[in-house]
Parts: sequence; structure tokens; C-alpha cells
Amino acid sequence: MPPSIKPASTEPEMLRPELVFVGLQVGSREEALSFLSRRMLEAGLVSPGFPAALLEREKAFPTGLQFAEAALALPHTETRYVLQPALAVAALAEPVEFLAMGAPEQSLPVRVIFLPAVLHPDWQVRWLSRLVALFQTPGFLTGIIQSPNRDRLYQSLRAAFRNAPL
Amino acid sequence: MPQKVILVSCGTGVVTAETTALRIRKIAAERKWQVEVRVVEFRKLAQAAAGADVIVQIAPHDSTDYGIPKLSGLPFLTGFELDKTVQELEEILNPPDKPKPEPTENGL
Repeated sequence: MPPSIKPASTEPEMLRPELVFVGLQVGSREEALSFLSRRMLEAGLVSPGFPAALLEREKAFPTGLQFAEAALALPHTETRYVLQPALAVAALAEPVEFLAMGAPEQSLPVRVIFLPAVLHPDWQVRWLSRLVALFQTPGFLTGIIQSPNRDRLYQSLRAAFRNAPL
Repeated sequence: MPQKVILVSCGTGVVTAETTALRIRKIAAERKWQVEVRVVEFRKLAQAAAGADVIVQIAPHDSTDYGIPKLSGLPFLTGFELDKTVQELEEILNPPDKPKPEPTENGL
């Protein structure tokens, strides 16, 4: 359903169980980004140019962020590759190295990847702002890393977003 | 006090910059700053800097001197040293009055 015919007051669901991964085994950030972006492509959320554009942008503007509990990556690319907003979340079995946002000389052992497919209506920026607030919430990243399975992680992410401050 | 302009810039001007801008607007509202927060694409920074008072920059790191102060926007995303950054921003927007010279009291 195209976003234009959705009621303006309803925020579409960003999280989908099929885009939540626990114990994902990848050998490099490129492999991780390819895997996740292809899943988004298969789900019809992004256009075929998305996976390559995502890799390119990560190379030009790295997205690793270090938090007290863990390092995470927030890869993303231009809105023109996005058909429908969504967020892929992956807890990795082993950390993979991402370069740090704003400090590409620094490499971070990333345990969790958040890959938003972003259009840019206001509600979605507010939603991303809630995500950033969650990153700073004690226990949030540890909870993701320790999630036993996809279903538990999906349910706890949904609950966290419902309660997240703006 | 005239309204000041904060520019927020990142690689493509979406996602990180928009998110940072929203968080700065929230802080600005709480602290009653008279500011306009504008998001600008990295490539258009030079052009936009002319009408602005401060640049909050996410990435890439840019050493060009635009003639106005620059701060890192990362604390707005990570929360790390956020208080310090907010204080720096506040001082740029609202510079503390220079201490007035002591009045001389000649002959008294």
C-alpha cells in the first residue's frame, strides 16, 4: 500500500519480525550490509539500487557509534532508494569492524546493526530520534545482544519503541 | 535578542542530520533559545554558512573555516559529553557579557 493512502495520523510500523536477526554470522561489515539490504530488497521495501548505494555510502560516511554498553552501526543511504520505511535490526554472533562516524581513522567492534530505510516525513524523523534516545538508555543494547531469539527481540523492540521518549 | 541560526550538516543531509536537528530543537525549546535550526547537505555548507551563527557537524570532518564556530553533532546522537556540547552551543548563541572594567575611582 503506498504511503499516500495511509491515514496521516497513523505511523506505519517500522519493525518487522522478518527483518530482526539474532546471532547473525557475518565475516565483515560488507557482508552484513549486503545480507541485510538484500532482505529488504526481497521484502519489496527498497529499490534494486539500495544494496550497492548502502555499501558506497558506508565507505564514504562511516556509521559506527560507540556507546557505553556496546558499539553499534547505523548504516543508511539516500531516500530515493526507499519504497517503504522500515528498520532492520541485527544482533551479530561475533563483532565486525565498522569505522566510526565522524572519525573514520577509528575502528569499532560492532555488535548490533540498525539499518533504517528512510523516507523523510516528519513522523519518521521523530521515530529515529526515539531510536537515538533508546541507544542511550541503560540496558537497551545489552538486552539486544543477549536476546535468545528473534521473537523475543522483536517483541522487546516493539515495547521499547512504544515507551521511548522523543 | 535576534534569532540565531544553527546549521546542522551531515553527508547527505538526511537521517543523522535530521535526527540531530530534531534533538537540538527539543533542547532549544527547553532552554528557550531563540534559534532556527536548519539542516544542510555537506556540499552546500559554504553557501549556507553565510547566514548562520554556528555549524553543528556530524560527518565528514571538515577543516574549512567558514568564519563561524563549528561543533561536533555526535553528542546529540550518543549522549556522550552532551552537557558540555550544549553548554558550548549556549555560549556561542548567547555569549556571556564581557566583564566591565572596574570603574576607576581616582582620587577617592
